[in-house]
Amino acid sequence: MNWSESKKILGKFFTDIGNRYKNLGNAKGFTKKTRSPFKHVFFFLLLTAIAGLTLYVGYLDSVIRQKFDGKRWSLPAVVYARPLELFKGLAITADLLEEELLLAGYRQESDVKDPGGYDRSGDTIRLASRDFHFADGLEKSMQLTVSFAGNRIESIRSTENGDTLSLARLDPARIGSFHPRRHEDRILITRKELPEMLVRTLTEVEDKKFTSHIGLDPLAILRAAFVNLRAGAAVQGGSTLTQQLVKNFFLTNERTLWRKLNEAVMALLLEVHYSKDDILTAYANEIFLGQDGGRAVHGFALASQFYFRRDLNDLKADQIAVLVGMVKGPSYYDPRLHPERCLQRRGVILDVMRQQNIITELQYRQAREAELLDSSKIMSGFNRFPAFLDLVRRQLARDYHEEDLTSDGLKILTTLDPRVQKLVEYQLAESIAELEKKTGRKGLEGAVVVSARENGEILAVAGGRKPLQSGFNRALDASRPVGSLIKPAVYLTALTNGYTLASPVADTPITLANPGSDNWAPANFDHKLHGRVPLLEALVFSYNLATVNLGIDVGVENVVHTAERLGAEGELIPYPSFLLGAVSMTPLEVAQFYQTFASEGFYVPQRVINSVLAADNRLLQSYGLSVEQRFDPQHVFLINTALQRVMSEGTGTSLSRYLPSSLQAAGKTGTSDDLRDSWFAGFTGDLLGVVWLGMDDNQPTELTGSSGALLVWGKMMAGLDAQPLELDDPPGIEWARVDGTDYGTGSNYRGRRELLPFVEGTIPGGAVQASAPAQTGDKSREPGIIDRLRKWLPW
Amino acid sequence: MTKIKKIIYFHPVSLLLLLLLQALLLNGCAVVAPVEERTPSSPAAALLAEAEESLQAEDYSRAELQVERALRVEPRNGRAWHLMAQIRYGQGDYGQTVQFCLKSNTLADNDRNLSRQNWKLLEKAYTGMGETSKAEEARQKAAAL
Repeated sequence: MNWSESKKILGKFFTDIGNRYKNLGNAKGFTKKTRSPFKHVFFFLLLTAIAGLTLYVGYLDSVIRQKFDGKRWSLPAVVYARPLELFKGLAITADLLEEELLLAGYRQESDVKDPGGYDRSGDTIRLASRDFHFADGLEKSMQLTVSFAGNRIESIRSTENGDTLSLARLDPARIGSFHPRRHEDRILITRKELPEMLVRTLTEVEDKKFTSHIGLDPLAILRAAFVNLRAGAAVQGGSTLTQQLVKNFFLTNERTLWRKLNEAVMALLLEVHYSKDDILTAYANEIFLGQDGGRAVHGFALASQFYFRRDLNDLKADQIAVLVGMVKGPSYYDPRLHPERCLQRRGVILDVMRQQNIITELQYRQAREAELLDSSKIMSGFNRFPAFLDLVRRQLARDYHEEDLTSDGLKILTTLDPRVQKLVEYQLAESIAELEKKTGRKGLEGAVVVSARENGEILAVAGGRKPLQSGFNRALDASRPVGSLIKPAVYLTALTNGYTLASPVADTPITLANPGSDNWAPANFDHKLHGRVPLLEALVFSYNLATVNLGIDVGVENVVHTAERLGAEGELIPYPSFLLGAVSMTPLEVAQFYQTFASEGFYVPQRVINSVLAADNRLLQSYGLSVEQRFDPQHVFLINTALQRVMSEGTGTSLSRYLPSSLQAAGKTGTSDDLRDSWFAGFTGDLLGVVWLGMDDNQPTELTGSSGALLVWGKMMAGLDAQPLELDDPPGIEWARVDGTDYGTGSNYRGRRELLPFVEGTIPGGAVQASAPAQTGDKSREPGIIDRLRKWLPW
Repeated sequence: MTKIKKIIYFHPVSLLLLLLLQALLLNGCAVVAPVEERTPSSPAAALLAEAEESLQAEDYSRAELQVERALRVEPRNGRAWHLMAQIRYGQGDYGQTVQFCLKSNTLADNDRNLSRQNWKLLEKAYTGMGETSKAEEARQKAAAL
C-alpha cells in the first residue's frame, strides 16, 4: 500500500472521528459491559483513555480543517495613491519623478530590466513599471525612457522600440492599509507564483525530505536530538516545514512537550488531508520574516518587496538565500539591522545551493559578490500620510463594515498625489516654524487641504505640523470661525440681485441688534471709514462695514442660502454677524465651499476615493464624478475677477513675494476675532488650496490671514509649480471703463479709470463700453485664419 | 443596426465619411466639422478615442473611467466633459447629462461645434425629463449656432 492510498484511508478514519467529536452524545456507544470488577475498571480506564485520545485527535483534526478550508488569512484593505500619468509637457523634474518612483517602491539599478527598476542619468530616467489592475483593467508593465527639459517632460519613449508614447500610466504607490487588531501584513501568492529556486533552497535547508515524509521526519528529530545532547543545548531543530507551519498557524511559541506532541499530531493530520503543494503554499504565505514598525511582515512575497523592492519572481539567487536564511531567525538575521550576521548566513545558504546544484558555479560566485541590499535609497510610503488615510477611512466607513476593510484584501484607489502631499507637509512645518520665530508665540498649529480645481479630487491633506502624528486631524476636525472667508458669499448674493462690481456701497458705521447679546457695531480691521466705495473694492480690501451694509441690504437669510448652495454645511444661523464669518467650518468644509468658485459656479462634491476593487481585482465600486451648476457663470466670473484683484492689489498682495503675478491666482484671506484664526483659501489654474493656522487651545496667534496662512499658501503653490489662472469671459459678459468720480474720497478707486466686467445690460450710466483686456496666456489670442479654417474642416 | 453601426465606426475612413455625412444631413448645406479633438497629439486624445469606442459599445462604466482619466490629464477639455454627458445620457441619467453639457459649454471657448453638440444633447435630455420648454429653448440655441 503506498502513501497516497494510506492517506485516503487515514483521512477517512480521522474524518469519522472528527465527525464523531462533533456529535459528542454518540460517545456513549464506546462503553461495554464486562463481568470481572478488575477487568471492568481496567477496560473502562483503557476505553476512556482511547475514547479521550480519539476525541482529542478528532478535535485537532476539526481545528485544522476549519482553518485550512476556510479563509486562512485576514487581508487588510490596501490603499493606493493616484497613479502618475506621464505625458509630454507634464510639469515634473527628474528629481521629482525619481522621488515618486522611490515612494512607489521602485529600486535603482544600472540594468533596468525587471519591473520595478529604474535608472537615472542626468535628465533621463529609464524605468520598468509594474503590472497593475486599475478599475478600467490591467495596465501592463512598460519599459520607458523619460527625458526632461527645463522643469517638464520632453519625451516618453518605449525603451524597447523607441516609439514615442503620448501617455503612460505608472503603477501607484501603496500608501497604507487598514489593519485588523493583529497587525499582520502579507501579499498572498499561489503555488505557481513560488519560484522553483526558492522552493528547492527552502526544502534543502529546512526540510530535506519534505516531498516524501508524512509530516514528521523521525530521522531528522533523532539527528537533532543527538546534536543537541552533545552540545548540551538546543542548537538544531528537527521540525519539518509541516510542523513549522502548524506551529505558526495553530500553536503558541512555548517550548513544552505538550505543544510538541500537539504539533506532531497536527502535522500528521495536515499531511493526511492536504497536498504537499497546499502545505508549501500556506507555509510560504504564513512565515514571519520581519517587522516594519508596527506591521509584521509575513510571507516571502511581502518580504521580497519589503527588503528588495522586487516581486518574488524577480529575486536573484543571493536574495533568495537571504530570505531562506532568515527563516531561522528573522530578527537575528535582519539584513538591515544585522548585515554581517545576515551576510554570513547567506553564505551558508549559498553553499547549500551550490552543493545541491540549485545554482551553477558562476551564479554562486556572482551571488557571493552581490550587495546584501541592492537599493540603498529606500523611501517607504507606507502609512506615511495618516491625515489623508484618516479621511479615506471615514469615507469608506459610510459604505463598508470595519470587518470588510480589515479582512477582505480590498484595494482602495485614492486621489492622493504624493508629490503634493509631501510638499504641503514640508511647507506647513517650515512656515509654522518661521512664523513662530516672527511672533515669538509657541504652539502654533495648522492644517491644509489641496484639491484639483475642476474635478474636486483631494490631492493632499495635512492635519497638523507633524505629519506622522496621527492624533488630532485639524483638517477634518478643527471647526473654527472663518472670518472674511465667508465674504464672497455676501458679494455673490449681491451680484445675483442686481448689483455690479462698480455699484457704490457704503462703508459707513452701522449698529445692529444681535439676538441674545448687546447691540452689534462692527468695525473695519484698520478702524477707518472708507465712505462710498465700489462693491469690488469692498471685497478686494475686505471692508467689514461695507460688507455688513451690503449684506443687510440683500438679506442675511439670502446670504446664508448662497453659502449653503456654495457647499457650506452644518447649521448656519442668519445672524448679522454671519456676514463677517461668525460661523465655524473645518478646512475641509472651506475647501468644498471654495471649490464652487474654483469650478466657476459648479458644485463638485470633493472626492478622496476613486474606486474600490476586490482582492481578485473585480471593480466593486467607483465613486463617479458629478457636477451641478448652482450659479450663473457670469456672476461667478465677476466674483473670481474680484478674488484675483485681492491678490494683485488687496489683502493678498504679500503673495507677490513668493509667486509671480502672471499666476493670477484668486483667493481670500480670513482672520477671526482677536487674531485667533488665520485663514487663506484660493485657487490657481489647476489647484485649490485652503490653509488654516491657529492654536489648539484657541489662544490668539498674532497673525492675520495675510501675515500667516497666506505665507504657507504662497510657498506651497510656488513649490507645486501651479498653473496660471486664466479666467475666460463666459458668454454674456461685457467690459466697460468706469471713471470713478462717483466714489468717496476714502476710496482707492476714486478718480481711477477702471476696466471692469459686467453682466450684459448692467453697464452703469457714465461708463464706456470697451473691449476685454488682453490676457497674458496663449488662449486669449484670437485664433488665426488657419485655426479658424481648420475648425471647419473635418480633418 | 447597432452592430452595423459599430463596424462602420471602427474603421477610420468609414468613421470620417460617416461623420461627414451625418454633419451634412443634420445641417443642410452647411459643411460642419465633426467633434474632432483640436490637438490630435494631446495626451488625452487617445483616451477620449477609447472612451468613444466604449460609449459606442454601450460599456458606460468603462467609458466613464476613461473620460475621468482624460480629465485628470486635461481638466479643462470641453470635449471630455461633453463625452461625460453622453455617457450619462446613455445611462439614462438626464439630470447629470444636463449638468455635464452645461459644464462643457463653459469650456467650449470658441468651439461652436462643441457648443452645438451640447445644446443638441441638452434638447434630448430635457425632452427625456419632460421639460418641453427647456428642450425647445435648447433646440433653438443649437440651431442658432
